[in-house]
Amino acid sequence: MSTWRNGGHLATPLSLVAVGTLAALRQNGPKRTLKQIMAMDQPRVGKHVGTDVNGNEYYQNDQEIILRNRWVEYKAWNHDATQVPPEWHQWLHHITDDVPTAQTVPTPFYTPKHQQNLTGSFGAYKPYSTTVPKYSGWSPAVKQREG
Amino acid sequence: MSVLAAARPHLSITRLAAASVMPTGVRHVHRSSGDSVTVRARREQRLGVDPEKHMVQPVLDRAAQEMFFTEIIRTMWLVLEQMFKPPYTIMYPQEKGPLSPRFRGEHALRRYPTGEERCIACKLCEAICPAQAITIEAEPREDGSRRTTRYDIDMTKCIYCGFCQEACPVDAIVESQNFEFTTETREELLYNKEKLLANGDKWEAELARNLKADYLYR
Amino acid sequence: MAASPVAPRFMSTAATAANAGSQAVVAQAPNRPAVWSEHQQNKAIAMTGARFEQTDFDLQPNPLSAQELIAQVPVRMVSARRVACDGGGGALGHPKVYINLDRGEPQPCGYCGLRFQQEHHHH
Repeated sequence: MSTWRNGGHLATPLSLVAVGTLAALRQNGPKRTLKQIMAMDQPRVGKHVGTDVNGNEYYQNDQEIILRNRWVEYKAWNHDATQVPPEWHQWLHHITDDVPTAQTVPTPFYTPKHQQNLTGSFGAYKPYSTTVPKYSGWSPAVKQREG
Repeated sequence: MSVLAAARPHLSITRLAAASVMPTGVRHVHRSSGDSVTVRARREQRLGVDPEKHMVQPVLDRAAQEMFFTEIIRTMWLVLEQMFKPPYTIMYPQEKGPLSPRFRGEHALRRYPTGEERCIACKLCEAICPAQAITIEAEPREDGSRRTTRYDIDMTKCIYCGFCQEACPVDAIVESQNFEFTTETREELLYNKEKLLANGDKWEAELARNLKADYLYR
Repeated sequence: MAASPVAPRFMSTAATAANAGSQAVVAQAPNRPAVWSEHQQNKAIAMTGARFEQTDFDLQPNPLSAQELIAQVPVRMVSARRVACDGGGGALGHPKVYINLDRGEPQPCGYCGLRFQQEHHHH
């Protein structure tokens, strides 16, 4: 009944399965609790820190142990790790503590709309040569006789 | 006495014979010049201390340990404690592992804030690449500036060492913190200039912040 | 014979956008339809063939053309005969270069393409 963070004394009722589940049910509702159990193996309660352009919601709970205190709840049913846009990617991977806003993480004007990893679909990147070929094949052609 | 005794005095017959009749708890160390005996052994001999005395347990304690599995119960208690602590398994993809701004992942070609490409086709990255994964062709652009026409990185050859990032004088080629670029076909990993530039555009927000945090140490 | 209407298997000099078939291919860049370098391959020619039959061209990487973007940046007028450019940010930019502006026309920085011009005071 102790966490790694606070040195082992009694804290965080979330470690207790029954109490944690009831607290999460009360706060999140049954549908979302079920989604959380399917995805993260336990119902989670956290502070909502933001939502990104794709609709994924980001939560934080500093009572949890250190690398489990930030998580994302994906909007799409077929969620994918690459659906996290770059500014939230920094926050989620614990690279930075700044929650991305227009002031903390300015996005340049040439940034396109974020796409997830499209491999396996029709949108997969196809490589091609960006230069003209240096040699050409011989096209057989019949030259007219002269004279 | 014998050749053996002369060559190795601590193995002489007399000493071995003496050891066989003496009780095993007492150990006599034959000192001679050039002998490699430890300081501790010499001290114990001098003080008359039995070197294994500290390892003798009272017999009742030993019996209790045998019958009641003392050390096994201790270990099982440790395991029981772990059952009531929160697990530290990170639930990917909802939670993700920690990264540093120096993490070397997918490559990207950056731009200046005005939108101009940074790469000036100096080919330092091509030269330094240990795997020879970078291929560059360059020529003057329409407006006269020096730019590449081909900038390919074969991500299957790349070893993600970051040398190209270190070599680049203008911070054009960088490694972003993205490692989730797995593909289903091998051809998708042969990145060309368009793909790399697009990568750079996509990740620029994160790249700029990481560079700003790290550029003084590079 | 001359090049057939079907896209040739190998790249022949007769290959043009007209032979590329009726696939919808994106322009070279969103802000520039034509190529900007002598030996740069046109996307309309490069992205043809059986390999691209089931490709969604809208989702292919299509970054903006840098030449157009830097051409839109206004020329910076300076009063000195030479100017130093380091791309902004000190170590975050490019190596510092000094540009001589005696010619009177806008001179671009070799690294970042920013153009500088000397202000001429009429005496």
